[in-house]
Amino acid sequence: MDLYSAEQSRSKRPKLEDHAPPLDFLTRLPCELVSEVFSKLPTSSLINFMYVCRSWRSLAQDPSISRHLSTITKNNQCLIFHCDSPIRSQVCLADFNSSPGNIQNQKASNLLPIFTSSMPEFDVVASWHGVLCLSDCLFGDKLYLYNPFTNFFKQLPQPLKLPNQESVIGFGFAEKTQEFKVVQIINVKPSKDHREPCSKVLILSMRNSKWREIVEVEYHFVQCTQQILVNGRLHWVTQQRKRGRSRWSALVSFDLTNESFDEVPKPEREALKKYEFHLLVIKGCLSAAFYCRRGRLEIWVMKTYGEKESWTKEFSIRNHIPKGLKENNELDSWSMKFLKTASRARGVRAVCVLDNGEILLEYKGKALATYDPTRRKFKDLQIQGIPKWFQVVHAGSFNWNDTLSW
Amino acid sequence: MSSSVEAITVLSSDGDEFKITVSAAKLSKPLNWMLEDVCFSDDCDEVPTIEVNSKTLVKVIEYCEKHAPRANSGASDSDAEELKKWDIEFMKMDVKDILFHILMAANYLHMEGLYDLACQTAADLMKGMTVSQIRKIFHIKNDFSSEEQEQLRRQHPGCSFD
Repeated sequence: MDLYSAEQSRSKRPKLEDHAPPLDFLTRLPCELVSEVFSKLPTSSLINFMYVCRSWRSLAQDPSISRHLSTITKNNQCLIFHCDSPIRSQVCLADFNSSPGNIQNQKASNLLPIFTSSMPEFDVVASWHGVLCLSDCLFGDKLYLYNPFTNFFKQLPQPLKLPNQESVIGFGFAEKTQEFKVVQIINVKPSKDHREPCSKVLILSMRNSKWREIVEVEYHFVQCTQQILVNGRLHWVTQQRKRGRSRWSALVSFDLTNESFDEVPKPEREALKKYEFHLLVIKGCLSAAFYCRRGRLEIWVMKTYGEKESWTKEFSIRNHIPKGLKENNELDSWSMKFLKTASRARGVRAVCVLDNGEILLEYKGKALATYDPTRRKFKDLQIQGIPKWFQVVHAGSFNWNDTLSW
Repeated sequence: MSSSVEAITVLSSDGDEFKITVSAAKLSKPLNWMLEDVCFSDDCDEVPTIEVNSKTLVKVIEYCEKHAPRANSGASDSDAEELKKWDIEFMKMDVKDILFHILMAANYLHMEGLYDLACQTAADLMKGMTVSQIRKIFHIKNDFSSEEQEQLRRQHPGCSFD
């Protein structure tokens, strides 16, 4: 009698073989079991895994395994750091499990992209589940996609370069068409004909790997420390402009599928209008962190996308100076020269909310801390081996599927 | 199913007979379905075959019998704690000899608890290990050439090879 006679329409399961167990059992396991084992490993062990032998390496790169893995690796999170000065050529990775105390005393491992000889210094444009888009920050003429987990990379067609024009690069994954897209927004300098700010927009989709000009918009964008992808849309904060007596910046989104721009409403609150802000994602919702008076950070969350009334104040974080900042204070003025964005200059950036509800904060690109909103307590984080000045470019789960529409 | 039956007999893939109590067999979905569909009694001549070898089946049954009381009645926290300790002891087994078969059997028998436990055990064996330690644990020969090895080292300076 067959055990499965009671059960008619289940998927085929591999039968156990009778002969002696193979020495290397992982390669003999069905895909779903291997990825289940993988999913319980911290990221650093996954990297080691690829260097054990050829068959494990191909196992790790098997598309069916990575597909399955991407659905179950929620608990397998990591932080990726980009070295910010003096040379921007370093990417570091630290395992990161949000259970309390676990980030403490973690060791970061240093990764060296293979293409550093052709692009000695780069900016990290954005991360999509750990797949990084890197741009040449010396000459602005090169773009790479890079997966730090597999060391797989791909050079993208050269972006348009106009002399003395600043450009902002955006990067994301269009779920509908299942492809990566890169957007280049060139801020056109105001001239006699162009009084209002204006930007030329070009897009590159991985499918046809050609840049094409799509539209001109009446905004000037600021390259965010971390670009925000919510609802299939990229989000930027525009450059501050004088409007009447107050300064004002807009929140603009770009739909990766329809390739169109839209303005997203900001919180109604009058008091917030004069404060600068940066964006982050909290539980899948677009969120904004405002720099208020006395170093206080207010985090607002847009609970229903696109609805102005749904903006809710979630957290208010008081000023804090982490240990890492108190030391070497004299170097700060020097390091400030290298800081790239307005949010960094303000000192603190809310990176994300961890699974345990604590907020990860980055201070002046030099120190990390978590803030527990219920107990209102800060905890300074020390991660060994990260560069002195850094930027968290990715926090969360990762994807190591290289075959995904590259 | 007659309620008087407390244990059933199953055959391993090697043809050995094993007794398993009904409550323990319920931990496996396919076994449970079978119990619901087929009438078991002492004079039943059909003995179900489970495609798991004897050595593994002994372990699987041991796990089922241990976990059955808790699964059926729900247990207190102290029981759960004790069971966790038992699980750890239970999983102290040889990788190449039996862990592989336990994993396959748990998957085949749809036993969530054991499946999770076995996956976790396999993962724990690799956690924090250097590449050469992993090779030793899983009895794997390094088949990269020395040039390849050198290239890999350059690519991932942070990766612990030795």
